[in-house]
Amino acid sequence: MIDIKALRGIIAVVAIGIVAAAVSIALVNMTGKVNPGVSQLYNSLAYLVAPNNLATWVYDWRGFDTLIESLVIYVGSFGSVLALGRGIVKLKEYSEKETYEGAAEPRPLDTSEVSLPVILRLFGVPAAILVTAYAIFVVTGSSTSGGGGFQCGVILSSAYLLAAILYGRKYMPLKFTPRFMVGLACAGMAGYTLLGFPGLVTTGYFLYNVGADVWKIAPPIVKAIFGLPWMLKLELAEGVFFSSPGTIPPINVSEAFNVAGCLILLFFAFLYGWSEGEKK
Amino acid sequence: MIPGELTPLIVSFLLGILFGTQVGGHVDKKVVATVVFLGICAAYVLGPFPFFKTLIGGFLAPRLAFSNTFLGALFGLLVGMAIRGGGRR
Repeated sequence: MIDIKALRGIIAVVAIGIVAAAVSIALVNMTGKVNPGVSQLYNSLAYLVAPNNLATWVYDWRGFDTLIESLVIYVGSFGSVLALGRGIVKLKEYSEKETYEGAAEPRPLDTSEVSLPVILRLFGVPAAILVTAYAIFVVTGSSTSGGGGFQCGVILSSAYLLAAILYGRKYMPLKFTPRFMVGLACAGMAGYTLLGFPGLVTTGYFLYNVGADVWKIAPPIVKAIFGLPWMLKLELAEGVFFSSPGTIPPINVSEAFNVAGCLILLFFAFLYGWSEGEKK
Repeated sequence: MIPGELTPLIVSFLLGILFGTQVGGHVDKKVVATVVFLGICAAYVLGPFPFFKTLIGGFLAPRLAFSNTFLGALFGLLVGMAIRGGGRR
């Protein structure tokens, strides 16, 4: 009799071998044929905007792409909660009869604090608070250090999930209400979109970074409003430069709001569920 | 300090207040003391961002640098909890 597990293992090894060989051959064939394209231009200008080149790429030159990605998260989250969470999210307009017949009734996840090990009981709340502070630290350093809005949102939602799993709804230390989470996500999405308008109105380019103003086309007053608060003195081997990430930090904060609101909303709806009639 | 070093501190403090108002549950003095102690340790481990000069690390004791923004966020959270009475909710 053929051992199925052993056969699966052999197939997996052969498949990995084929993929590894294909990637290796492709990399060898690429030698001397790679065109740096726009990367060369990006790298030559990036330091004029922010010390963190990646932030400049993602939120300035590819800001429109990131805006649409944010919209995907926003629509995906709200769509999932309303469609898949039907029966969990009970809207005022729908009665109990209108939920899918035979659908499994969601059992809200709730744990007793008594059952927690001592170390989790003592350090659960401080850990959740410190992780929240770390999330804020990450978003404020988006332009100068590794980090950004997406990371902040994910870290914040992990803090929420940690607290939810440890304490359950009754003893939950991070009491994010549905209204707060929806408001957070909406404010984030609206903030990101609105930050594109100063560029559109003053230069004709939506989401143009008027604070950094690499192409010197923004009015000085608009550049000062968006750029001056974030101006940094970069002391590099090549000399001393004054650079401002401009609209990148506020966009990151908006992005963090959007991601945090959407992810926590998902966790909340699928862990606990809520109805519109309950206390906000 | 130039504006780029000060603004993140203000933003982190304000965000801390915003999220601090959402903290509730069992938050007593021991928890606050633990958070402050571990927070100061974490601020030292994280350190300031590149090109940032902190009050201690940049001017008083260059070898002892703390993350201003992390401390700002932490104290913002504590202020937010105090505003909404975090421990009593």
